[in-house]
Amino acid sequence: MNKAELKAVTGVLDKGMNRQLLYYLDVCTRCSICKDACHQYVSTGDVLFLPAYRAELIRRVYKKYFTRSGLFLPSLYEGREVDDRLLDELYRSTYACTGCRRCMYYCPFSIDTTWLLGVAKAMLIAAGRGAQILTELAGAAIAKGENIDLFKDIMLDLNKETEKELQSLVNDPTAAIPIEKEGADILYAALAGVHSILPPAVIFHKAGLNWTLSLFESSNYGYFLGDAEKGRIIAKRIVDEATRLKVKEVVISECGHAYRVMQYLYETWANEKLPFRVTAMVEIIARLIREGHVEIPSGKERKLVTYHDPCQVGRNAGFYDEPRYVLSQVASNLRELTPNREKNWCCGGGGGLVAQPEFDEFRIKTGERKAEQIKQTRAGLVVSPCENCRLQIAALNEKYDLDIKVTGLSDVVANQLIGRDIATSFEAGQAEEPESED
Amino acid sequence: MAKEKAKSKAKSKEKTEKAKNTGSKIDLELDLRGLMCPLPMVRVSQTITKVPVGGVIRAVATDPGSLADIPSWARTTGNEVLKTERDGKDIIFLVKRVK
Ligand code: SF4
Ligand code: SF4
Repeated sequence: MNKAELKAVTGVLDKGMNRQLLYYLDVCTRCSICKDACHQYVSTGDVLFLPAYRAELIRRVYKKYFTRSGLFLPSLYEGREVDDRLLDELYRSTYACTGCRRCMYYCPFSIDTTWLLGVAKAMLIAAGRGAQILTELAGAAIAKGENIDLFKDIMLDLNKETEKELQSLVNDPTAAIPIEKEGADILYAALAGVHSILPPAVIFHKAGLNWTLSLFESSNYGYFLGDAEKGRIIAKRIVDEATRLKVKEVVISECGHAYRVMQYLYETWANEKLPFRVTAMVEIIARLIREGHVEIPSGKERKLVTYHDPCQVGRNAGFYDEPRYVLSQVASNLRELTPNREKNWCCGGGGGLVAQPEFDEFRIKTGERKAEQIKQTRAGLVVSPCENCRLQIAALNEKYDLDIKVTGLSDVVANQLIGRDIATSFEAGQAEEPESED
Repeated sequence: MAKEKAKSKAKSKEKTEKAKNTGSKIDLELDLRGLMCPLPMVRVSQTITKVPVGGVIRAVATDPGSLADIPSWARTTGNEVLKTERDGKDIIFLVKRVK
């Protein structure tokens, strides 16, 4: 590591040195309570994945370069030089973290390891060691925003096909999926793929909402990468679109981190106030049912269903009651995971891990707690309002032989509204027949 | 069921032949059907180094998100999408490794 690189890495710590960082670095008593809270440490026993040790790596660099004792007697005061070995360790412990914040929930001082690892990610990026695939995904999202006119025609064509599917599902030839509709009340930011467009479209249509579909996907790989500037540019694509169309509300698809970015991070990143309300999909479904805008037909599903609280929807955004309320309207046999809500185990795929092949084996191994939890319920259907969680749980299903189906909250509601089995898939033109229960 | 599978296999073979007739020499075939965003792009990125510079990957995806994702990825990584075409639900990309 040359001098300029070292300066860039330590410069991040220097610039980011605020009360929160100093508090977290100072206050840890090494009580190790967090070791039993982190699914990654529990599954691997590897100290690299111990929450307190992940933070310790930053603390040691801080001691080495920013304290007198660490500068002169680093070995005595546990100061550590920034070298390839340290950066390798920092990379693995940082980009492996799913940002689930279970450790923070259990820590007596509420040390936010995820926040600290945000600093570590900035240090890694300064060293030219940001996760490559996340860098590429963030770059692609930015390029899409800059060149949207190149893709618009093809997206509009595809949307026509999705619209036809909607019309056939709701049996109404006037049902629409408007795009770029000025004066719409709601802009819905989906994920790529009809599975994230059709179920909300069914619900919005049934509720008679004045809505429009965003040209941009809500997911934000700049956030997972830990690059706030890239994260801001990616989110800004939706902010600009919503502002141009003068919508009152932006609804974020069932994607935990995307909601968090828009609701809690964008205003700080961009230093501007959002001119619209931000709503999570789970929130709007609950609202529409509660206020009577959609009427759930009687005859609740009696299959055993379980619900997985996505960390970004539950612990990190506080939606525990809304999804349960919605589920209680469509299914009569909900069996909770143990533990659940604030104490729920992370599925193991968050933090962008499902998109990083280098962590494939690791995330399956560290998802064993989740697999066990699901198995214990004996439920055949797992509902979870987060794409990351669903992809991971589907992978766990294969590896741990869980014999389950995984679906979203909008999916079960939309299916109920159109009189289908709640487990029916919404893939384009390939709606599967649900499996019959013996 | 088996009949349908055989039919779709034959159709997919037919499609392969068709793409092979576009004039580009295909160095690697990548079946990304059924994978959801962002995995098609991730797999192309992972695989591109497996062909030599100048080599071409023929990737078949079904996720509509890939229509913008893969060309955008190519732009930012300095690679090139030679062709994008749709064949029913399949989206076929010819991706050239430029560097
Ligand atoms: S629980 Fe909190 S105080 Fe205890 S070791 Fe972990 S981070 Fe430190
Ligand atoms: S946020 Fe989750 S994955 Fe990260 S260290 Fe804490 S418990 Fe482990």
